[in-house]
Amino acid sequence: MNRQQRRALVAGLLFIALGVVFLLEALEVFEIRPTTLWPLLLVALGLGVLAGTGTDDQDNNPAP
Amino acid sequence: MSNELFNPIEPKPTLPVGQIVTGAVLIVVGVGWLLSALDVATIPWRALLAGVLIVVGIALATAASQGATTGGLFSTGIILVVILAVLSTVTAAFSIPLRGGVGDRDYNPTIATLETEYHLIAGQLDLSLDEVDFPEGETRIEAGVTFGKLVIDGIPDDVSVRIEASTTAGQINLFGSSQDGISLEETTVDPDFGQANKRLVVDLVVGFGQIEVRR
Repeated sequence: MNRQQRRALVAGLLFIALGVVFLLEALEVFEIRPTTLWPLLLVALGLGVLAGTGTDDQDNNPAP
Repeated sequence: MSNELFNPIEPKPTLPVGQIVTGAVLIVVGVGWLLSALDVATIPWRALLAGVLIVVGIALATAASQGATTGGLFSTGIILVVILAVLSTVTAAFSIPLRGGVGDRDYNPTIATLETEYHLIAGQLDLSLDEVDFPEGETRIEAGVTFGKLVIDGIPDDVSVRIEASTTAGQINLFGSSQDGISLEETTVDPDFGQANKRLVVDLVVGFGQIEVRR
């Protein structure tokens, strides 16, 4: 999996997690305060950025 | 010489998952918006958008794991996250109910069709009570508009009222007494409210806009 695919995969998983959080909040299962929400989004953004770092597996391990 | 050596390697066909999901999402939101505008159904927008974000996330992760093109999925997901975060912040920070549709609504109920709650996200909500034959005892009505104007009129003379109105920013006009400003809360109670046979309690909330109540 190359870097772009890995980044898209992590972004997809983060979207799913955030979607579940927003859905439960919209259905009033629990309440999110802005002071909790925005730091949470920063953490998610940081995870997305970290997922984009590193090297491509294919580039470093070319097939023989 | 074998021809097999010169056969070009055909690229693996990939489904444009991003474009398909983006198109489907636009259609679902458009249909929801249309149904809400035509007053056919009330769409829980925040829950719908959150559901769309989950679908976009699943499609993006699936496309990435299969090496398919993701199209505009990433941009769509980012836009949805920003919209949902802003809506959540506005709701929590200002205690504004984000319910109902978009557009102007004009309700003229009878006692049989009178609802306990009326909500609108953006637009003008008019609730005329002149055809309601209120029963003895207490009747409660709650109405909210996030952005726009909320008008209650036609309150029958034989009904004693207690009106509680609040707005984050805008104007409150209760029976001709008007106030403008930020974080307004106004309450008016008929003098005979406690002894009246027919009592109406109205709780009105507008996020940004105007509240007007008249007989």
